[in-house]
Amino acid sequence: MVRPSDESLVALAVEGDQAAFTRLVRRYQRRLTAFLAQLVGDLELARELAQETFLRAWSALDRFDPRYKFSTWLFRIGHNLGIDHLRRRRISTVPLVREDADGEEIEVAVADLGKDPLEHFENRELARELRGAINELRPEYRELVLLRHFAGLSYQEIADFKSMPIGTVKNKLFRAHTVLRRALVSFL
Amino acid sequence: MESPCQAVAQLLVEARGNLDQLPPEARRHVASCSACAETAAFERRFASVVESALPPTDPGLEQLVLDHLPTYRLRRSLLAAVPVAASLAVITAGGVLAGGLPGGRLLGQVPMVAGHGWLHLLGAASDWSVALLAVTRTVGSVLPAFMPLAGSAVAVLGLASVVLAVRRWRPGVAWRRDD
Repeated sequence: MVRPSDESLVALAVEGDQAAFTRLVRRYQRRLTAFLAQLVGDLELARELAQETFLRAWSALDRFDPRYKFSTWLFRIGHNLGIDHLRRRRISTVPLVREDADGEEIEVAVADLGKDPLEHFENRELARELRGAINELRPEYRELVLLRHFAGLSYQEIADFKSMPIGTVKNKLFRAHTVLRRALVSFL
Repeated sequence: MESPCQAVAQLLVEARGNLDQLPPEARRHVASCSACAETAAFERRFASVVESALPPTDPGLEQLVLDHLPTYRLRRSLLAAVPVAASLAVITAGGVLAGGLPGGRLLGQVPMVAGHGWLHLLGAASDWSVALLAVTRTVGSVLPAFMPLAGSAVAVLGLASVVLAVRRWRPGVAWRRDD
């Protein structure tokens, strides 16, 4: 059976087809929840934000520009909601001073809710190391890693999302992976 | 200049270590370079760990979204109307406070005042500067002196409330490419 494209499902959903929209929810909910969980640092909160993201997307479908990809638009809504939530709640952040790949000291701030967005992951030690390694990335690298690996966006989609040349996305993700590899080399 | 290993490593990061996605030349390089082979292995393991770290699908979320779809657009539309209603309320309150909307008394005078104004305007229509003067006089003869000022203040307040309300209750997230 042919898997309907996002574009065709969006076209049906714009006409009010709830079943088509539900298929989009099914298609993106896992990635969106994972992305938001890493962004806000709480899986349960991420589920609530994912729900709100889908509902906002549903109500704004008539304003969706079909020249762009639905996934990019959806994650943009989710990202804005996550950031708004962090600002509104003034989530406390933990400042960390770390050295980046170039040996420069950088300060990163990560959401600290005392919760683990990878709580469902069975390998606790690896989960802790993975989260630590991602959190210690420069914020600009961290966001790209989340978009690539948790949101599952392609390089081109990330470039669209960030309004950034695709070459810059490639370079930054490469540098981010260099740092991640250094941090996780004894675990992976 | 970029070394062959660095170029291949970039491709490996992009391909999540999947050699099948590399161009033939890069694949040959990985086969003959132990450092790049290690990079490929790390990228595969990293992708695999992240994939298994994704939260499981939550059927409850899908159902919750589905349950709210029919009413959500309506609710958002009503919320979007709040700033307009708030603005009208402020304008009405401002009008009442300024004594401009005392119910039937002023409304009953509207036809007479309007006719009076039209006569003023028609009489001066041949000359725009005179016409403008006539408008000013007409407004001045109809309204007490403080009314135009009060009206302007109310309009500004209304506009400010619309802006504030729209910022608070955005009806939806419009597509935008930039942050």
